[in-house]
Amino acid sequence: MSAYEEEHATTQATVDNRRDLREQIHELYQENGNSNVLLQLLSQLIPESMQEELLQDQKQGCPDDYVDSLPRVKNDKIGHHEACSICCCNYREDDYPLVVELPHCGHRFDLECVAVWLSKSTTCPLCRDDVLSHKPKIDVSQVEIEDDWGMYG
Amino acid sequence: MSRLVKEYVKIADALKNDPTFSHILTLAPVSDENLHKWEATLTGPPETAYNGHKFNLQIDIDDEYPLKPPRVQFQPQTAPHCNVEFDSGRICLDLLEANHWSPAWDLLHCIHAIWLLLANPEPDSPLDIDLACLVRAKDYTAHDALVKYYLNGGSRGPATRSKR
Repeated sequence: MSAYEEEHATTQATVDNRRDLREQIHELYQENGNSNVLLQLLSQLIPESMQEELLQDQKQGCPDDYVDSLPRVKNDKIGHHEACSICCCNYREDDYPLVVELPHCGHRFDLECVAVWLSKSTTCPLCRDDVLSHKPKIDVSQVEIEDDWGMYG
Repeated sequence: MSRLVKEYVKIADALKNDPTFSHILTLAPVSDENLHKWEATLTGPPETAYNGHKFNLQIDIDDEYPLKPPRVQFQPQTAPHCNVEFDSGRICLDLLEANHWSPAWDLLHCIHAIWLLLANPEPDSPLDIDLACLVRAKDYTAHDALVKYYLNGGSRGPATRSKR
């Protein structure tokens, strides 16, 4: 074993393996960059323990489309002294504030601030309400219920 | 980073004017050039064994703050408490852990929470087995006496003692 191998607790086999992987990646990249295959190969280069961490990180947050769907607060509905509790900045300091409201608890944040938080978590920073735990409400007020809703003989 | 500057201003004002935080004697960056390292000094809560003593906290803040919690610990070997590892000063408090943290918390309230922890030991997640056992047995007389003994410089013996 060489000094390098000892120091990095690696063997010739894993070094060869990594070199093969690197060559494959290079080829793929040169050809057309099929991103899925490329990602799979890249993930093999990451030690297993860290792979799990990466996967967990991805699982913990809200999906991107959830964040995109958050209702925006109109500028004239934002109080003059209202501030985002993540960055502590007054919304009105910005001429064009992009403020969103979480649908259930109604807490407001800068979209930019809360988007980063919700990419790693599913709870409201202020009340810890799990934003994904609520099923979308079905609006029943418009549904007509027929009087003679029954069986006919 | 700008958030830390804002907190700095807010904290200075709160420590001066808000009696809620009168037990926090200092809370400020170690030096003006580096906002990533802070220090705090607390007075022990009244009507506890910690009354009359001062406690220093070391605070490390990384670039991801406030999305990640600050790292806060007592000065090593100064805080005998069932949720503090005496030798290192490490604190077991859920809000300081990444999965319980919220970016709506700030440094002032973290330090306040640690002060509250001093008065309210939580024996179900102990870092000091001896003290936790006494709290669990509801023997507060013995618990307070032991805390005072350590606070006044009493020897804890070798570090492995509490694991026996």
